[in-house]
Amino acid sequence: MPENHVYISTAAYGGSTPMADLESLISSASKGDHAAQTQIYEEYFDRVYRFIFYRVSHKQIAEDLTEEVFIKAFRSLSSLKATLSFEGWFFRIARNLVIDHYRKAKTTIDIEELENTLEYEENIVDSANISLDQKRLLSLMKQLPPEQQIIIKLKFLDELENEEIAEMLNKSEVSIRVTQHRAISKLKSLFKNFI
Amino acid sequence: MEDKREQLYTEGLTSLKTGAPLPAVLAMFAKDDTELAEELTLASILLSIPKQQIPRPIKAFKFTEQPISFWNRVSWRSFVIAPLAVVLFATTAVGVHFTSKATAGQKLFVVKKAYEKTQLALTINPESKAQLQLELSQKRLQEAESVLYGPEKNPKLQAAALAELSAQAKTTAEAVKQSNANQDQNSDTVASLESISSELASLSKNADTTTASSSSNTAAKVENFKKILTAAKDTGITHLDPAPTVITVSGKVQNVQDNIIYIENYAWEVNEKTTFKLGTEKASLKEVNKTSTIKLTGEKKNEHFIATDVIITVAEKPTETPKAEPKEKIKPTPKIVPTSTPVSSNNEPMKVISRIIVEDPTPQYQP
Repeated sequence: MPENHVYISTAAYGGSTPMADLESLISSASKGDHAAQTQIYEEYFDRVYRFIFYRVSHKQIAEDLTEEVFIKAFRSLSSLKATLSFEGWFFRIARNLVIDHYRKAKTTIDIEELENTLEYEENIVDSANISLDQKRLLSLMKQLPPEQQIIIKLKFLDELENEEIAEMLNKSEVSIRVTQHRAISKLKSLFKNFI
Repeated sequence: MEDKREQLYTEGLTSLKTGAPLPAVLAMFAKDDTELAEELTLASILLSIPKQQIPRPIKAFKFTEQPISFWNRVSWRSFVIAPLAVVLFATTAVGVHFTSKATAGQKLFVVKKAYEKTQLALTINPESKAQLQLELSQKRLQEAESVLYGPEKNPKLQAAALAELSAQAKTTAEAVKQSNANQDQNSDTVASLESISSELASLSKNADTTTASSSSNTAAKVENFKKILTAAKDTGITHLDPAPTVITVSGKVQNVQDNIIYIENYAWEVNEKTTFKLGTEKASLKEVNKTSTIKLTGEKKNEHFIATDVIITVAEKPTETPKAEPKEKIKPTPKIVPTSTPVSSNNEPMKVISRIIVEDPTPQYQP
């Protein structure tokens, strides 16, 4: 297959993307190999787009920002050192781009406040089919400390893994696990008191 | 205790995420721990929160439009050559000035060539290499003109300049040939460069030491070379597009509208060069519809996705509503009704003969 040929097969078709070893793929992509970059783009595009869409709730903006994520990522790929999660690195870029996007609209706002002020859970959750318990939990989440709130949202609404969250927030994976458990524990107490 | 619970919680959560039912997870990880059981139950509720459908994105592959930065292109080997080049040239400002003016046959020309060789080694992209060779051709041309038409008539330098010009023309032809952009237009340029290279080589070999510069033939060839370089610039070799990315997509067709096939977030343009196959048989765009499964190969050029080959792997004719057949009037079925037993004249029962009564029902339609 020629060097610049990319093979993509849809899941429905039953095929799978023949992925080279991720390390060598990243290496090729960092040197400007369009085929390698395209493979990475195809692999991570949907999740990054979903992550952004939930936060901006606008298809065109989400598409533009997603494209921007990959442009930025490939530009800085050569300087990327060891990461906990390659995908988490993309989410970090995506998160920063979303924050920049909102910063342009809202001039003075704290980053953490912005992350929570977005209240993107309303964009994610299918309110029509949500149970009463789930509704209660989402409402109680707002009583958690900001850091715990962010991690719970990333874990259960964005469905990110601990390593991805850690990479995104520039924390250790242990820290994410511990914080998440504490958040669940607190949420449990709140839920019990609520009933 | 807290660490132990946190570890069990993490393991239980992982099991829930892989689809294990809650009772099984609780039995495995939180058998004797009510607190942990409550936490895992809560996590299970959160995991099952229904998510909204999001609109399908259109992928634009904009990263392919970005120029490849120099630092992304160089390999570690370049950093062996580069320091040597720096040592070679970092003498004096005057030395550098004279080096840039050197022409073929002069001592500093070797230094100049070494520097250019370094530049070429650091250029990996074929299109950028072709561009650089064209720029070097321009330099050789200027050098040749300076020795041919300058105040100092040195036949040896003139012959060397022509030889250098010939060699550069040949190298440039090769580089343009290797370039992937504008291949149709490049073929003329390649042919012209190869031709002028031979002519200049011949001139150089046969250069009369006293008449090289006065030869109208020499002037004509040099002028011709100049025109070739200008034409190359005009045809767009100097604005080389990055090699198109070839993509193959397989799957079910989402829609076909005019000459566009929509499949898995791609909108593929079909043109007169697109080939269609149904199995091994030739086919056309007409055979592609919403129920087809295809394998499509194409290129992304600038903003467009252009289909080059389409293989229809599963072709289903769109279901057609069966034509309603004209409803026919059916003839009424004769109803056979037994009549009363007739009695013959001799009072013997006659054989019963059924009387056929033809009813005149309202015409019935076939169901």
